[in-house]
Amino acid sequence: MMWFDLALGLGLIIAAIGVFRSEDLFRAVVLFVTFGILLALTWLRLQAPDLALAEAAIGAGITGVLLLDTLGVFRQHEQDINPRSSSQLPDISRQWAANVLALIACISAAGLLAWSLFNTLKMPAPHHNLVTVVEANIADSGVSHGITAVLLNFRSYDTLLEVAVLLVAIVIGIGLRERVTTSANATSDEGQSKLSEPPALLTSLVRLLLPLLLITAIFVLWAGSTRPGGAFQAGALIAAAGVLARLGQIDIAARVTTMLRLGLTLGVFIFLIVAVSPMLTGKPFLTYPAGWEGTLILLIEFMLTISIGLILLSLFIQAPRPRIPAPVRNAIPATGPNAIPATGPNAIPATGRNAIPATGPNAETNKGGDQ
Amino acid sequence: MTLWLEAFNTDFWYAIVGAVLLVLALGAFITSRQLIKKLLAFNIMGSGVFLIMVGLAQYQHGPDSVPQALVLTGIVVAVAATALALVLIRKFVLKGGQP
Amino acid sequence: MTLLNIFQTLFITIGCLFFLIGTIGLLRFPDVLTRIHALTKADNLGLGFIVIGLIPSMSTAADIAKLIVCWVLILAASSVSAFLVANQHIKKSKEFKDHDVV
Repeated sequence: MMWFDLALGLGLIIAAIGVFRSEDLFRAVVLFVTFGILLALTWLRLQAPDLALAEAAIGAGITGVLLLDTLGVFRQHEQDINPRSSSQLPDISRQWAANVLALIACISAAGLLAWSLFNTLKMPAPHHNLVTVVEANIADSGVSHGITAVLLNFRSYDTLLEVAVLLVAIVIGIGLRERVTTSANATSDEGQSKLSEPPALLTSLVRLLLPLLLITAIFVLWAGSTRPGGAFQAGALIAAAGVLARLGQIDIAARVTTMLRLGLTLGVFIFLIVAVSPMLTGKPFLTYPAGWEGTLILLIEFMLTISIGLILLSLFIQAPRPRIPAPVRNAIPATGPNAIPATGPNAIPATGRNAIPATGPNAETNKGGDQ
Repeated sequence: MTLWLEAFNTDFWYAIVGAVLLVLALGAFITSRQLIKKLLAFNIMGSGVFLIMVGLAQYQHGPDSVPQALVLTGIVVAVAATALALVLIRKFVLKGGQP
Repeated sequence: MTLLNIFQTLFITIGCLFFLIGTIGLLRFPDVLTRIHALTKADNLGLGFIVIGLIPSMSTAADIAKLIVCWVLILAASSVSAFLVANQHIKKSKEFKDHDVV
């Protein structure tokens, strides 16, 4: 089996080098997703099925969706604003400085890592290790799966702070979203032109997969207390379900409503309540009352699943996008009445994003002829 | 050299792979000019750190749930950071910056 | 090595060969449509062989059901995504032509 590990490790390194070396961003992103899948396999080889689940759903799945969506936005934006994106020449001296700096950083990091890895090999096995400590205490934790016990009982402090970090991320994400402040009909136009009718095959697949994904998410959540699974993996599955639903034009988090905000904060809120309430009886922060550990962990995990799923989904959906009717808006001050009929008939047959390159040049020629 | 061969196992091999990834990604992070590629390098750097953490913790006494739980936390934080970075990059590009 | 083992090895090897062929097709074929064809057709066949080869190793009926559900879902997802990619490709090339004519 050593050969498989050798090949997998080299595959990881080659995929990473491919990401770094490819000039084309799309290629880099595809290679990055490949890297994520290889990494999920690696976690399996390291006997960490929880990490494999999370990596496959998050590292390869959601990160890939976010990156590809961003590339799509860039492409659209380039067509909108500046058809020939001026490729700036890199500042040669700055690039040189960066290369030298990178060389120094790489050599020192490599030396440090090699030295520490070599010294780790020379060290004898420690008498106390965390595996035995976890095994000795797992009976009191309320769950029988080690990782869930660590995440939500032994080191629940970390998890609480982690969810708080997620909450901060989505607060910033929502704060930076494109606010549609123009007028009501502009927003409806945007909605119509942007999302063309999805193919029937896609919608039916989405209808088939959505319930399955939600059931799987609940199963993974439930499984977390006895075997690999838990709130993070389940949350990632819920986010994936949301992304899929959006492809089928069922928008869950399109508008930032009170309900959405409630869902985003639910995890931290319940976690904090459970964490603080023992303090009322004089116990330290984050102690579960005896006998209630399993129930409380499941409650927290359930709320965390909802929040993590919604946070990841909202970070995707609320990310800034170009405002769609840009060519029309540019044309109106320039030529007034003529520009609109010029863009009109052409814009209708071409659907969605592709309408923009089609109308752009035409509006220009018409403007020229008019003047 | 015998020392290396004795202690060398799957977990240690992946720790070495993680170290190599970390070093390569560090270089790519500094030298690449495109923001998205910097972000990808940053992510791969994180994965390298995760591999080192789990591999080194496990190579002497088998699967260990403490580093695995920490890395699970790390993976989720990494995706949140990536999503946030993408929001910022998109905003920057939509305002006229170079991606 | 029992007869069952030989059967399993045979099926999994055939499955891997199909994956190999699909990947070669993906790399060597000239355009989007033929590449999708190679990828989806050969890989789904290979996946089917691998699933059949793995079924005897499963201990419970639930595990077998999970394997088969995986197979069916991957078939559905890959066919739909292949359709979407092909559809987009055709739409784009058509628009390109229209644009040229105008």
